[in-house]
Amino acid sequence: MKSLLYAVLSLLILSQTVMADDKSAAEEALKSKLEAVLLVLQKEEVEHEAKKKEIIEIVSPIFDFSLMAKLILGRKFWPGLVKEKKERFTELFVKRLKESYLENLTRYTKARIVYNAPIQVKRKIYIPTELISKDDKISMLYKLYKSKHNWKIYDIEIEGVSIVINYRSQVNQILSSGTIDDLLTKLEGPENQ
Amino acid sequence: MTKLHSLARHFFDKVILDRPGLVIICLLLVVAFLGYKAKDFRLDASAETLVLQNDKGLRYSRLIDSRYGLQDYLLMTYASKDDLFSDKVLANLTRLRDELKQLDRVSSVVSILDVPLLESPPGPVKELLSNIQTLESPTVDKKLARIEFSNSPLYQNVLVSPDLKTTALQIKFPIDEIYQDLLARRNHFREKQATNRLSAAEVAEFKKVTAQFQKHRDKMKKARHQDIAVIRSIMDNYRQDAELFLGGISMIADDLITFIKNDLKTFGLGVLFFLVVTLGVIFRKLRWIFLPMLCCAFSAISMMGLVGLFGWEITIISSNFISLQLIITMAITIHLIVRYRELHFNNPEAEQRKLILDVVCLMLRPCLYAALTTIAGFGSLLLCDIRPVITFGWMMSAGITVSLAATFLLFPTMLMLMRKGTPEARQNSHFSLTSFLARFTEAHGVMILVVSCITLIISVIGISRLVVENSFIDYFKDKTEIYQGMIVIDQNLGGTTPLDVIIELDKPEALAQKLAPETDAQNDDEFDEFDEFDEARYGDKYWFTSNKMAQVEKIHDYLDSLPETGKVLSLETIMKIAEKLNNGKPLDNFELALLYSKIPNKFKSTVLKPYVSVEHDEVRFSIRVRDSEKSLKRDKLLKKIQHDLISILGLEEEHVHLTGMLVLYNNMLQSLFSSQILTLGVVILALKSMFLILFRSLKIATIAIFPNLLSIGAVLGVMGWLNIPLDMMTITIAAISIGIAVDDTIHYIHRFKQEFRVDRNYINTVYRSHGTIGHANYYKTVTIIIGFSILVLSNFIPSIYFGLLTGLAMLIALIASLTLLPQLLVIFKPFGPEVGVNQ
Repeated sequence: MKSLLYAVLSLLILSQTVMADDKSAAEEALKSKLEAVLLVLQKEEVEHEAKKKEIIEIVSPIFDFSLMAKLILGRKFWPGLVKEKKERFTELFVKRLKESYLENLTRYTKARIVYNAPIQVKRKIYIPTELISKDDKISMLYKLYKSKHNWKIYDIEIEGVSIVINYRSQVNQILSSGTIDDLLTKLEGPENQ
Repeated sequence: MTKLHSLARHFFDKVILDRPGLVIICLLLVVAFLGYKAKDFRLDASAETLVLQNDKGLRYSRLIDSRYGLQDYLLMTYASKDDLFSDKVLANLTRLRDELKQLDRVSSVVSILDVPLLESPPGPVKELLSNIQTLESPTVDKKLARIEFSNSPLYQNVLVSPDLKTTALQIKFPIDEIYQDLLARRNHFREKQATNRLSAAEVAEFKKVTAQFQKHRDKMKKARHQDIAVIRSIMDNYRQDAELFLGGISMIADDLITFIKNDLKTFGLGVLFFLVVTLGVIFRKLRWIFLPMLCCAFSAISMMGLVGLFGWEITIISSNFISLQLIITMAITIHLIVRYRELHFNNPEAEQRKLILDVVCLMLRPCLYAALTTIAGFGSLLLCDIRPVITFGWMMSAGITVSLAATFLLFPTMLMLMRKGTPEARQNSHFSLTSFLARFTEAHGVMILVVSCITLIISVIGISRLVVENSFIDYFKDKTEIYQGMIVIDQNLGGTTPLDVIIELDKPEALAQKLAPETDAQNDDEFDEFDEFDEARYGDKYWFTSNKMAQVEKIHDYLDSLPETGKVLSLETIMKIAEKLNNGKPLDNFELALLYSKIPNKFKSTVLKPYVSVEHDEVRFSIRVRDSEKSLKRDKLLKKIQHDLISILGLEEEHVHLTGMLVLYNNMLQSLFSSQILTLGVVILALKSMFLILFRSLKIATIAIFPNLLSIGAVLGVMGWLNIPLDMMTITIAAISIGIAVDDTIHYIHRFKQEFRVDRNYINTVYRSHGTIGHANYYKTVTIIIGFSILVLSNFIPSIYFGLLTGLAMLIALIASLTLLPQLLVIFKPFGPEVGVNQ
């Protein structure tokens, strides 16, 4: 009986340790990338476009852009699409997402990031951060999941607004009156179209 | 002698006249009982009593009210002599608001003092939302606030007039949950009763719920009446510094009742006085004043008791019923008096009992015929599906029966207790109007026909000009406080009558289901892993998209562009402000979501909740229509909005819903119009069938229709020519005119038929009929016209119209029955050929 109790206790402690490990691993993965991005942003001598290219190279491994595209279409739209359309949508949306992320991030050349304690939600880790610049403070919640190899971002909540759901609402409004081709055509155009 | 006649004779002889004292005691007991029941007599002008019995519109309107958290409110206007934003005025307003807030049944008061200032100072949305200021905030910049109030689409024409001289305080009352619950339960039983039979237990429960509902509603009505009185007394303390008015739909309903009640009290006495004087002048004998008045009192009290007993509610449609009751009773009594005097004069030696018996037996048939035909006329009201109109139909049918019964029981028994007296001759019979009209008919028969035809044609043209409009503001004279208040609200604070346009926005799910078979989605484990993105889980903030807002803007701008609409409030109102704060750029989906999540809850309930139901994918446009706008055509406006939203703005028909007071009253009025005016043809046919049954001659039935046609036609024609709209109060004039005209026609024809037997000469019969029943009709008409003429002094316009139009209907009916009717009888000779001429 005693041994069973020990076994349960050690399992609990072990799982806590695993959770703690997950949190710090996810935080570490995120932190390393974001700090690298901040360093790039601070480089005054580098051209804007070059900065963008460099940032994309840094963040691409941690962002699961394909998953984000899939989640944006959601279980209502995604399964109904043929493979080619899925690929085309993913390709266009990843491009759009990257552009949007860069556009917003490159405004903050002299910013710092404060990391708050990570939160475990089921098998995912949410890392609340604050992007602090001279006259603004934006709360950003990075949502990560453990892919086959490493921790990856699948959504960011900016001031409480999820970018996946936000894009999904745009997709919904296009699909409510048009077809998937209309959506693809719009994505091919400029962002504010 | 027919069976009916002998039966009636036997009844009156052996039962009534044998024991007059006992009959009077029984009558007194019945009247005392009904008088006691009259305590349940209630007058109601609330929406509930003024809408269609099965009106889906009312149910929908209630649903919308609860979905958008809409509360009943009163609007108080405050036009200060000093600057509105001066410390003195703001302190006064604060005091006033606090006093109002302290009233038990007031849930909140919205004023310029406590609404969020969104542009004072203007700044980024995020910053603004983290520190929302009000006029009461210690650090507020009043200069900026003044600018904001003068420009804000959210507050201008709602809380302040564009010139910043008048402000409004919205006094909100809590949603009455007990009322809603009782109403739902009562309606459930009503619906069940309409489709299935209720079990005994359900019937008992239905009765109980109905009683509880009425009790609660009466209590609340009384409470609201008290609240209005208290609010008005609070207002009195501020009148030295400002001009204050009170408005709002529940106040209009309350004031309507007050006006009608006051008119009943003030003019009831006036009418009574005029009736007494006229009866005195005509008959010059105390008993002929006392008896009609006693009959009127008995039938009016009995009817009020029956109304209470049956739980019938007196609405503004049926508020004239007491007057009608008086008219009908007075008509029957005058017929009895005139016939009694005539019999007495012709048989001075006859016993009182025999005279009375002859009078009741001779007059029972025509009075019964007239009553039955009038009931048939009012019976048309039962066919429509408006509860108050149906009730009015029942009330009038019951009222006529009560008048007939009360008069035929009271008149003979009371007269039995009086001495016979000396016979009374009519004075100046040669120069009286009736003998003049008899001579005129004989001399100018063709002219009568021509003039009647011309009158009918002019009337028909007039009728074609009739408009169906219900403008509350036009119910009151311009010197009344309610009128002035409504004008202020209408012209400076965005309009009076609420209209809601509800639009269901497209649901993307419908399309998604077409694209994606459920099974595929269920098999995809990745979506299960990220179920936080399932739509049911994410919050309302993502509902707000730029596409939806663009659609809302289009609809809002369209509604705002209509000249009849005053203030339009919707999501677009707050979007306009947000756009301004966003450097003039429309908000994108992200910014919209951000805005939604950052607005504090206490402001969400005032700036968002009334205009959007995320759960139902629905937006609400709250419109106030300018009631005083003379060019306003309500039904046309509603149809135009519905049409334009579908065909111009491309919305689906099933996604567009119009509701609110304007719609409910309009539905009711249109239904009233179609049941009252469009079915006049049916009513005329019904009357003709009645005449056919009564006189058993197609010729007489056809002739009898014409004076009635002329009377109704003239009344409606005059309304058309004078631009008097058919509204909830005037529309019943048509039914009333029929009742009045029918009485004259039936009595005249009935007497004509009797008199014709004397010498079978039509012209002689005309003279004799004019000299007998003509007098009764003439006296009746004069008494009632004079009696009700006092109503022109009322402050309540429908009362004036009622007084004048009833008088007109009576006059036309009298003239038609004494000119056109005899002329038609002379021409068409429906009672057979004449036997020589010996005038």
